[in-house]
Amino acid sequence: MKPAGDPQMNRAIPRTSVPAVKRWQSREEIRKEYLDSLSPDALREIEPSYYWLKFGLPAWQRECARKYDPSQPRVPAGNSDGGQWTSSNESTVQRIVEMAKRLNLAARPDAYQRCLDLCYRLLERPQSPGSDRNTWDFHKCMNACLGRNL
Amino acid sequence: MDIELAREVVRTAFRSSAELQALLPVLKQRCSAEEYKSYALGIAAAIDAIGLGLTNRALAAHPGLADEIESSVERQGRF
Repeated sequence: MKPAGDPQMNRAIPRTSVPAVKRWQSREEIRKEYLDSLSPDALREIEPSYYWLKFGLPAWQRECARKYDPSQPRVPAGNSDGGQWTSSNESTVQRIVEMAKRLNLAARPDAYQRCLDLCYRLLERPQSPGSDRNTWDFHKCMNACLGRNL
Repeated sequence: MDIELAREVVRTAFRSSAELQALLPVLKQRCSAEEYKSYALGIAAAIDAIGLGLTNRALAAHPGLADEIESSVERQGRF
């Protein structure tokens, strides 16, 4: 018989960790949970479209929600484009269209609504009577956002 | 469709869209923010439907038209 202090007799019962039972999750939910756990930089690298959806779109919407800036440069009155926003506005449009491309929402079930939400503000810009600028930019934005190839 | 007719289709689509857009400032002035947004999205959807049904079709038939529209809008604000 071995003495009571024999380590072999007093072996600790190994604790087996029983994983907590999680509710059933769809593949999409698991993927979303994983993506949400990533840092912004990692997310941008792994899933750029989700990154823009999570961070880019709200930032852009906040930017658009800011009050219209009357000091924004305009084409002087008397020109055919009088009163229209100038180059700084063009870069905003470029940014929106680029963002629409990056979002690549075409595969999402709510794609159409999200794209409308992203692009409709282009129609709100003040423009001179008869100008097609807003329509054309909005058209490009929707095509880019929905991945419509022409 | 010949290119001249395609141009006419795009111009008509733009005119209809402009008319719908003209409603936006009026709605913004006279509706609540929530009601305005709902109408604005409705107008945007209508303009997109016009674009899809007319402009995109004309551009598909004459792809060079896109650059023509772009430079015309850039130069004189309209097509």
